Amino acid sequence: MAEFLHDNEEILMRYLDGEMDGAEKEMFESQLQTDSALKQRLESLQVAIASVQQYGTAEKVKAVHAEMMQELSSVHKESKVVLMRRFVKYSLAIAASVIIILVGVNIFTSQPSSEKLYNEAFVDYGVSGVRGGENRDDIAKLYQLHNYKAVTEKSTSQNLVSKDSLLIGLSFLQQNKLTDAINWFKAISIQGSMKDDAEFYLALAYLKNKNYDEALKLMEQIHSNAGHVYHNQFSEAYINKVQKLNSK
Amino acid sequence: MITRAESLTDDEIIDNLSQNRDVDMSLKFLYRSHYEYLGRYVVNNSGNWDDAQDIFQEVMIAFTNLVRAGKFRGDSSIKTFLYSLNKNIWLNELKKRGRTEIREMKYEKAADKSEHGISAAIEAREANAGLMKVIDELGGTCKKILLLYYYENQSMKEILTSLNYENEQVVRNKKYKCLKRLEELLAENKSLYHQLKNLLHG
Repeated sequence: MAEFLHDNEEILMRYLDGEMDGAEKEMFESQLQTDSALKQRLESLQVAIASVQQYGTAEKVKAVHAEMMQELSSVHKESKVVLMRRFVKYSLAIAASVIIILVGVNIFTSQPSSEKLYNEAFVDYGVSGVRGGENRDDIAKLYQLHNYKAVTEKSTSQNLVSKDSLLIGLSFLQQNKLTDAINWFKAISIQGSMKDDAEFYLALAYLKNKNYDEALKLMEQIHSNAGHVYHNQFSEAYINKVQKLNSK
Repeated sequence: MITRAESLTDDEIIDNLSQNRDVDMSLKFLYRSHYEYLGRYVVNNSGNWDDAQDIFQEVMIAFTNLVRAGKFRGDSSIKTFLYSLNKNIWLNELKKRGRTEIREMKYEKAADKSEHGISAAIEAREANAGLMKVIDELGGTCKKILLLYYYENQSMKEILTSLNYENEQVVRNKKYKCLKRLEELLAENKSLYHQLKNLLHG
């Protein structure tokens, strides 16, 4: 009995390690059909092998991860600085508008403008990890340098990927060419990897262009879709403010 | 600072990972291409960049395992698939952290686990900590032999030389004993066994 078990184990290992020839394999597999104990033993050995592979993968990824986080976090810090600067800039802008509103409070009733609400929600697209073909590098680099005019001049080039199109749309938006921006975002928002980004910026372009109905429709859509990348960007309070603007 | 990686197609990445070839280079390419975008999803959904890093590591482990197990066949692009993995793993993490806001309910609905292998990957992720413990319990030599043979795909001959055994039969016997020991340890941990089985067959 012990001898038989040993034979069986030998056979199982030969099967698992791919050492059987065609005929032997065929015989073994037909035996598997009828021998449920053998089948179960095979499965538990397969699980053990899978666990080794899974462990190996986890160790490998962890090693690469540590290395890549050093490389990528430097990129990340750069984009944080940009965001920070933007934050400061907007804070100043908001502070300035608060002062203007305070000063003018006797003359005007305070009302948020579409411009102000636009600034409140706008987050710039972080261009980082620049890679890929020539074209893509150019567009991302130009955008990063805030050379928006040069980016929009690329709008006729061939082989644009959706990220390029997004940056072109954004560059139109930055130059206040709203109809162009809207058209670009609309095209990208239909499908593809930049869909969420395009929808977000499309909503903002509509807002800036005072197409409140379209803007609100999109904002509500993004707000109610918890899986949307920009889900948190349009809060209920924010949408209410846009609605007020619309009813004026 | 950044050395420009050569560009890889989806097919090349799948080939490399499933054959355990150029794994480092392929993983690095995936990090450079997708980390920023997937990380932003986590950050925009109640997470921070530390969470984003952890989740991305889990995504890479799950993805590599799925490819190796032949569970990712390229029905969607790698980018779409990673996005979905990242989303599901993060939403699962949020759930684990016990956020009982109504929003979570929405999250659950938004989580799309229909794609091949994703729920198995999430289960496997849960299993990972248990797995680390089990493999460590095997001891150094067993761990080494099993990893060299089943993960690195080294031949008996190569293992024989690198571990200084007398002959192939000795390595073969040792390998079997180690695998059997691992099998026993896994049998003691039903949920771990079940999760691994799901990844294999699910």
